[in-house]
Amino acid sequence: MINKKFRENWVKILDFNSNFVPGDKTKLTTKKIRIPLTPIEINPYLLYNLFEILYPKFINSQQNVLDIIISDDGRNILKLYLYKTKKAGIHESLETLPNDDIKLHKKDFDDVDKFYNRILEGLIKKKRGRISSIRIFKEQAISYINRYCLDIEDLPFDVLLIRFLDLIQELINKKLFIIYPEPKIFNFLKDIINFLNGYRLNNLFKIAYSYLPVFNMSFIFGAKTLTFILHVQKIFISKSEQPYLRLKLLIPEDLEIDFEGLSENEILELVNERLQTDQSYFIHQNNVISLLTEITNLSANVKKENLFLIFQKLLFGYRSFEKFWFLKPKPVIYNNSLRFITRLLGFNVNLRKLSHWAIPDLISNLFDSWFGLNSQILVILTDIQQTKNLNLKNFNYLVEVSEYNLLFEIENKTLTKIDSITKEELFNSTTEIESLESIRHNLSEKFGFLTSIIIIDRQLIQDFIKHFIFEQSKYSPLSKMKTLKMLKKQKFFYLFPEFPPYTLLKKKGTISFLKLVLPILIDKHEF
Amino acid sequence: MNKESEIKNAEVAIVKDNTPKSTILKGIEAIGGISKFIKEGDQIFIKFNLNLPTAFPTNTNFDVLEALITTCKKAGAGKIFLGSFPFKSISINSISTTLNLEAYFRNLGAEFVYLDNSNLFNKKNIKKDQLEKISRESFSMVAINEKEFLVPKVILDSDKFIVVNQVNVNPLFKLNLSLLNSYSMVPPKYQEIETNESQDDNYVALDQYKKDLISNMLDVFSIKQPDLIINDLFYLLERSGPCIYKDSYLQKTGIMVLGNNAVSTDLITLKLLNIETQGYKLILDAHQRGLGIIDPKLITLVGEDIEQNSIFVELCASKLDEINLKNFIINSGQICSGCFKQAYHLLNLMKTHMIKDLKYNPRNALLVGLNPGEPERFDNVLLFGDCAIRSTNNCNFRRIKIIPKKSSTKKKSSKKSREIDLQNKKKIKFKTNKNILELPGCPPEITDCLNLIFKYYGKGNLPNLSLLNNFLKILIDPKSKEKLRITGVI
Repeated sequence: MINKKFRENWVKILDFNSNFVPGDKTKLTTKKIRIPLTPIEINPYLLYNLFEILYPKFINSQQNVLDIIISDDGRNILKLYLYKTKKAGIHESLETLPNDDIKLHKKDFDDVDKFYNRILEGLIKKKRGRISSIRIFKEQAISYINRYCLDIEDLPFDVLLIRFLDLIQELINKKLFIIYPEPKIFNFLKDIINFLNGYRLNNLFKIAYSYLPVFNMSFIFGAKTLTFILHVQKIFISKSEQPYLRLKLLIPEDLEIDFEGLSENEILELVNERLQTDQSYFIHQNNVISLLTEITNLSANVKKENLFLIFQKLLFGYRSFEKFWFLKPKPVIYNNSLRFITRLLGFNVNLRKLSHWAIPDLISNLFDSWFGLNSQILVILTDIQQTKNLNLKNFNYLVEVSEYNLLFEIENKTLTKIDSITKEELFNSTTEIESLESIRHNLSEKFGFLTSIIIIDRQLIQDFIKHFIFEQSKYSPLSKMKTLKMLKKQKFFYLFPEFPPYTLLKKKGTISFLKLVLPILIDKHEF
Repeated sequence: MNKESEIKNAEVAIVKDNTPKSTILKGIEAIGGISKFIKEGDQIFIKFNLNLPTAFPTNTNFDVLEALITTCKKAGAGKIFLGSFPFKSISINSISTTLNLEAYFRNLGAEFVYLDNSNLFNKKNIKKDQLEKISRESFSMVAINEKEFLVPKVILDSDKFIVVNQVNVNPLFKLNLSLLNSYSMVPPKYQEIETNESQDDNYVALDQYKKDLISNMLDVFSIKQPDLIINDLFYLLERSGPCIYKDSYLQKTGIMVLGNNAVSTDLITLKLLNIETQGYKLILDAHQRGLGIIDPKLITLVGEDIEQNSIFVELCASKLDEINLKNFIINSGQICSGCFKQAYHLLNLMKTHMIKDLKYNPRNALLVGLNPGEPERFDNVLLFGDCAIRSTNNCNFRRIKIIPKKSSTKKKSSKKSREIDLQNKKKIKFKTNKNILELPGCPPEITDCLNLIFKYYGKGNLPNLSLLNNFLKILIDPKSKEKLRITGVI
């Protein structure tokens, strides 16, 4: 029924898990197995470890799982598989149960809780054991999974991710998969898909991915039990026109390194050297897990308070350099002499004193004041490289250069909806776009009053990501300043109508604007 | 002016629907349709909330205005004007530029009116006499109860006057009702309550400020009463308002209250929101002056049922210390409504936009009103308003003890030196406490207060206020302010 390669790999996983003795590192083999539903081959011990850590946190913390395959009309059971797990998430054996072990009733899927309890009682009576979770797949779900699994080994990781997001969206939209008790992460995914209102999840990924520069990075996730390394690259392979995303998950033994007794910076040094990456980050696993837990616990209709609480934690994490995270090469900005000189020039850029407690509030209150508690904001993402004759006297050029148009709806400080607006909807009149007011007028008729229109060009986003996120190690004040100056130029950034904060940004010199804003972003006291 | 005899009946509709647009349309239908109010060719003036150059709900919901304009046009209205006077010192041009209102309303087929003529301020070489002439041409002076009010002619000349009022919580009147909304049809200068320096303490004790304010509001209201009133509480701003502050919260009720009499419409709105109306002075005084009907038997109520749609609203702080400002202790003495309102706005503004500044400057005491008492444990004392400044002249905090420096080397205490010590103890010396900031005014102006605070604490200690001041400089142009003075608006 299920894809052959998927099944074979799954059997290998079960085999490894059933023979694994915890704490026995001699089980580290040179054999590799694939992470289910991906072509990524990793050491089985690492996969065991990932399941052991992540499954109880994000899926279910109890043992034994029952997989139920049902017909598309929901009337018949096609297969029943019982997984015995000594530890939550560690699938060790697979037992096929007779289909008549469970009887399906018409209203079972309206009340899954009742259905689950009936299954539980039935299995106990038949002495099959106790289960903690059920996963129900419709037959069509298996077809989708099989289709997805076709030739995944040959696909670049970015294409695979696009297909994977599509699979998730299909399974959830068509209600082809049910899991009970429903983990928060599944609920989170369902919320996001509902919230996107038909917009494809993979499109969001495509937008974000297209803005990333070419990179070669590694992330070391440190833990006492098993530290592992994620090697991610966006690179051009041979003479390809498109860069590809590559991803590898490694354990120290794969790189022939022993992390025992090494400090974080020493580990970074070694990994960076072996993998020849531009940058290597060291992050503690428990910090990443706790952040992910908080994010998945959020409702997708993100209340601003919750979003800013996470933002506050992220900023706190960011300011805790060499405490929560480490980077190789070490960012030049943390060099005390350089920071001293910068301070003499009037800029206090002590990132260890980033005002994690004040920045979210500042942004939130400014946003509320200028955009309102209810607002509709149209974001037009452009690529001005698409046109040779850029005429900024009016806004006609937008017809040619707009790539993605997203309408964000905010109600009572909560982002409630994102709509994708087509070019036809946006520029439906043939008249000249003298001002953005005509766009506002057109859209307001259909969607309600449009508070603002924000135009952002690809170049600005790419430069920002490159200089402020990917090139953290470098000091390069000029390129950073140049990126900030782009905010003043209409072809890269434009806000309609012009609110005072934006007017101020345009009017003031970049240096004096920075001097005005930095004391808010960085805490005054050095102790 | 309307007389009591002219008010024959009051009709009020409570409507509920899914969107603001559909709700207002449903409401208009419920009270008899737009043609009941508007005749072919009528000139309409729509008065809405336009307080600050910020977004909803400080100002009216533009979806509601759009639906109303479209309906008026369908009914054959001639010209449709919209406008209002914003808070003091802010020109309408500044708001229109920030929100791009002129073009927005033009596209809808209506005309946004710069009631303060501030759209002409940027004209080159415009002179004082020209401004005065423009002012004379666009305003009429109307006398009511021995008071004079400057009223835009466009309002007086309009055949129909419609008030679209966004219902937000209000520190003085619990809620922003249509009666309050009507008040800003006259320039801010004419909304101010005249106070004189020689006021006795009774002025504060009797809260004469609020009495005068209500009287003024009703005078203005009587100049031109609205034909159609829309109290929009589809989204109701609660907890902190009527501007957007840190604690502000929107409650979605899906309800609007519409009527042909402002007093009755406001009364029903209050009842819907479970606000006690028996002692609600604004409504009672309006009724006594014959400006509206409050007898439920004489109000025809259509649409939804009040009881079944009753709404519980979280009102804003009724005491200043409830605002809970970090590092601030607030001592309120006897306080009039004028000072309360201004202090409420100042504290909320600080809480919203000066988070870092508040953390950087610990141990502050804000004294408001008459005899606010001695502050305890403070580094800085802020005296808000003339009353607080005047009544604390002899308070202990005004002076601080001079502690004599002890000599660094210990000498054997001779009899003579012990006598000197004793004498010193008897003569305790004081010096003036310089850590006092006086914020004068009756009541003080918020922009003035911010400037004084900025000077007192210094730029280095107020990074948030530095930024805020830069925004304010963009919004409040000193040249425009001067021109607003010349035209008699402020």
